[in-house]
Amino acid sequence: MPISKQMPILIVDDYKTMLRIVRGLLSQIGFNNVDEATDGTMAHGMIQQKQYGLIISDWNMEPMSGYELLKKVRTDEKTKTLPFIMVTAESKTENVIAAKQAGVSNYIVKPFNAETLKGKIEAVFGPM
Amino acid sequence: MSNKADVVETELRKLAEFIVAARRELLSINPEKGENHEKNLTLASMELNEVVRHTEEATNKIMDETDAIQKLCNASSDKETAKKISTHAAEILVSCSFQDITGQRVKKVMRTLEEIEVRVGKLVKIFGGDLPEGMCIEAIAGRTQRPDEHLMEGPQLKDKAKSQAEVDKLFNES
Repeated sequence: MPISKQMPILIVDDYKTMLRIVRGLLSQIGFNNVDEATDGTMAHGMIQQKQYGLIISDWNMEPMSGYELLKKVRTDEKTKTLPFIMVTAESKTENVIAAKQAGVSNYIVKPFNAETLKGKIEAVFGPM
Repeated sequence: MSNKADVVETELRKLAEFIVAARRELLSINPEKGENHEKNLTLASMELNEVVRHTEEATNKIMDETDAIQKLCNASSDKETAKKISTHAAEILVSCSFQDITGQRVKKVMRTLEEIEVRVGKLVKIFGGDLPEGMCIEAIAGRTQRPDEHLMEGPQLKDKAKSQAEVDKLFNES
């Protein structure tokens, strides 16, 4: 899958500090076309309105979690192949397997750095 | 037997009254929020929400200052030193993710304490007693159960948490 540094990316997290950190890390890697959502419901609405190239989402959010968002994205014909990276502190085996079965593109454990994020984006899209 | 039951009932009643008294004390510390704002929250929620709010404020302040340092680095004529400082500033920024992890841990504790508070209230009622005025036991009962509730435990303890390498291995093999 080709990668463009201009592609719109949606980051989803209920902690504003995390949104700021992920935005900063993406900027370090060279991605600056970034939108933010604070839970799955808000993100789902934004995905309906705009064509994103990548979703980077936290898991543990209310009212809609990142896992529920992932399942909604994968069941919608328009977004079923949209790259989706889960970024979460939930590192139990059951979580990783459930996310993989739901169709997640990759899985990052918090806390993480720019190198890890870059590596996972490259794992999904190929080398930058 | 009934004597033992009386003792249990008395102790439960004391616990419930302690919770209500602590709640009142907390409201008097934050009078600007008012009782109406807090009436549907358990004591644990009220106290720990404040912890999360304060750490978020402090973290945002650290991040603002780090951004300011990076802007100064970009404008500096000493590019070599500026680059070194900027690298350290970027590390500080990443370290601020502690706020998210801490917040999730606090929420985990909050839910446990909420459960205790609500169960104490329910036991008082079972023994036929009246709940002390101001005690809230509806907070958890009214909470919507999520389909992935069993997968949202929050951050694991250090000795149980998987590293990124372990998660990668699991992800690739599953």
